[in-house]
Amino acid sequence: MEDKIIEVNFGPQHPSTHGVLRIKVKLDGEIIVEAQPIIGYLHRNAEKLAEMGAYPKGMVYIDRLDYVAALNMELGHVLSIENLMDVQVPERALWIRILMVELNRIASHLIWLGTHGLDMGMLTPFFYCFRERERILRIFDEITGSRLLYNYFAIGGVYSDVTPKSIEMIKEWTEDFVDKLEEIQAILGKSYIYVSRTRGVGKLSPEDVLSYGVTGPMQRASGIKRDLRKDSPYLFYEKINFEIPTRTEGDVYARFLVRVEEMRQSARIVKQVLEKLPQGDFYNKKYSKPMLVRLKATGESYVPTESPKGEFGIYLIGDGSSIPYRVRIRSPSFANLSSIPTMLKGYKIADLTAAVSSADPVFGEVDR
Amino acid sequence: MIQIESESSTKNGTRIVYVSKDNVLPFLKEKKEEGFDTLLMVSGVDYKDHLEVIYHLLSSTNNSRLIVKAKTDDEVESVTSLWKGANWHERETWDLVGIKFKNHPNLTRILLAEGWVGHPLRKNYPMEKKQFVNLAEDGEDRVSFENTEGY
Amino acid sequence: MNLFFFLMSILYGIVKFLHINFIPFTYQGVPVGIWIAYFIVATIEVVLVFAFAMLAVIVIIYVFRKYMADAQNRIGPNRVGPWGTLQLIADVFKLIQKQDIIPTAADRTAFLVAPYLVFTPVVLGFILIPFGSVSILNLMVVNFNYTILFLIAFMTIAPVGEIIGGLASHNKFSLYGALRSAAQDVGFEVPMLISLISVIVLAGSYNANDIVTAQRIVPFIVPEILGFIVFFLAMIGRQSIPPFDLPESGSELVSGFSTEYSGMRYGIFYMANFGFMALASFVVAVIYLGGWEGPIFPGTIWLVIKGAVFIFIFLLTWISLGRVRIDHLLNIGWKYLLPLSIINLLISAGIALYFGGVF
Repeated sequence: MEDKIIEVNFGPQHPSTHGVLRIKVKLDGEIIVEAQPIIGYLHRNAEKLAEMGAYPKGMVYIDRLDYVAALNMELGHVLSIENLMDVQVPERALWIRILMVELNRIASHLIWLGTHGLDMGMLTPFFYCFRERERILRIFDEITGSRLLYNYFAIGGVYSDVTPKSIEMIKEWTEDFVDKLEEIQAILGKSYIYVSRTRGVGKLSPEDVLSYGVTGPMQRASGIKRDLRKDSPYLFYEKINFEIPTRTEGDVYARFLVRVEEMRQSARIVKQVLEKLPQGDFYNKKYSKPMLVRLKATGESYVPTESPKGEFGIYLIGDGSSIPYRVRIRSPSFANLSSIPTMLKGYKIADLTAAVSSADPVFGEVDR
Repeated sequence: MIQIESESSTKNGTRIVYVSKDNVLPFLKEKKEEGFDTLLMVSGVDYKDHLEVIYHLLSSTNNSRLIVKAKTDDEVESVTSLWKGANWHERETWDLVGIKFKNHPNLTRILLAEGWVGHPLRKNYPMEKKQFVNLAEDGEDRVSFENTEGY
Repeated sequence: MNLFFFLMSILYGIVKFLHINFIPFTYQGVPVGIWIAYFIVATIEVVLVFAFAMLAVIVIIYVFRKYMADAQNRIGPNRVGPWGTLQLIADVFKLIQKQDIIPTAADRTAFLVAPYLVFTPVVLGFILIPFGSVSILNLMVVNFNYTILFLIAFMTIAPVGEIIGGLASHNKFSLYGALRSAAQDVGFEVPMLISLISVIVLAGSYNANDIVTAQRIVPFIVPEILGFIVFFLAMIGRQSIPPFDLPESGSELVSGFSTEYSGMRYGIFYMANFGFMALASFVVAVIYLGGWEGPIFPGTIWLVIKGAVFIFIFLLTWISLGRVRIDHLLNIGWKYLLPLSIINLLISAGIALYFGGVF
């Protein structure tokens, strides 16, 4: 029996590892006996780098954590710093932050949906998802000036205001995004092949979810109704109507449905933000750009935020100087990915790609 | 009831408790039974004269948070028996900060290559010294200080 | 009378008419001049068939790229030649320039032979397809009593090349691709052959041309709709295109059996894949849709139209469906297709008994 087991290395160069994940898999025929993920191929030690410069300088490295949802990463950082320094932020800036973060959440989920389709052998949804994402990136380009890594959220506000033209673009986008999403969901969710391959695959029980510290859509797909936007509202999420989609199956299909529904809810939030966006300053005039690097802080702060992958937050320890003493990044993908051995054991090779992609790992954030 | 050495809080009001390093595992076990069912992260801080290990706990039922800290020289009991997710977090803390975890099932480096010299998040880590990683014949990573032997 | 004898007799007539008797030797009682004519005709025909196969491959690849691009909101090839029609030629030149990498641990001979083992049977298969009928002349390179069996035999050899290539590559992903290819072939071959038997029962002949003429009134798709479904799904499976592309399975096994192949060797696999698609659609058209039988237009055009319908269905499944899992695939093969094909065999045996010579 022993000699029938083959050890195969999936990655770090492999089409469906979403970057540089390496999984050592022991296979008995097509069945996975043991799966051991190995990470660290994209390690840059962002924590150390952020500890080497002034508080706002860390933003550049935080941007590059989850590079497909860079604004969500920035939000965690900026909220933590503002909490540490007791910075007052004008209302308009906070509303703009919600708008941008929700748009970026949709962009991130769209990338996930497209690559998930690729992993299941479907090429077409990938292009549909990227078409929709492209429109969001154009909006970002209009507002922030960049398409992928924005460096947009500043201490005390945001770096540039939302222009009327970009509001028009967002309005145009919200009008038909939900219909387009329906179309994309139908390609995958109405395909018998896709559904039969994902139902009951990569299951995580609620106990496993808690034990591994899995958060975000994966947690909600396993029947634990937790969303930091509702549970411990930051920004103005308590003033917005939206629902938290949950499923109880805990398999890949449930995660697919949860993420798609989250996109709908995010589009709903974007619509509400556009209605409620107040006039006023978009940054706190007390914190002008040149003086940001001289800001000093003491104490500790950790503000949890709901990134597309789960609970994201930055634990800052200040020692009274303008350089943070310790920056600790709580990265959701890292914890989500550590549940892979449980998700894969006993399933088949084809389920490996389905389960790994359902965890939605982005390696900038896993390896930091 | 395990004795708490001292208490403080973060800026947004999360409770921070200090326990002695021998009490970490029993204290966390007690807290887990109290309802703190999620371990968000394990991290370490180098305070030059001592190290600190930090556990972020979350109760998913009543949405309360707790930060547990323990001063240590370099060794602390592993909590992998309580949370499976602690496995990777403790490996990372060992890898980057250099805090050893007793009774950990597989305490190897996770982000850096096996054989790396030093722990980067220590404050006395020599930043100017470059280390090069190469792929050895057996497929595992090999670390050296010679820039001709790696990338 | 088929194309071969037609060309042969023209050449023979020229030889006789001009009183060419330049080599007065005979071999096996036949003048050497006739033997030379034989080889010339054979060469011409092989070149013709090869050209047709390659033309089919080029057209299908172009249509595939444009069609897929259109379905996916892209433009597709539009730079090389008018509307990008010469893209494949450019690709071939690019692939030829590439370094020919052979893994040191690979079984060298088998590794080199495998792409041709896939490609050759596909081209040879075109020899046996009846392309039409002009008065007494059958547009068919070779015509004998068992053509349909040989046709299926060629289609069976082609995936063997994939298995050999996968095993010879000395790569675990290739190995898994080869194993999946083997499992898939066995799973689909049996139902495919059984549904072919029911066609032979109805037509009463092993000859592809006779099968076509037997469908003059009613194409076999009408009495044998079950067999058609089985055969068609088996054809998708034999081509290993999505949803049954398990031997390659891009996202799971890197590229399956062709992982270690690069440059033109990979290009041959790629072209053989599309050549097989053309062959498969023609075979389905011949067996179930009456091949070149049809009103008004000449037979060849009818065959091409019918083949194109199937090609578009193949491409559509490729574009729109995901990949099935290996256990689902074997379930399809053994649990659904095999019983269906046996039921179909019984039905067609009953029809053949009851109606006798109608079909």
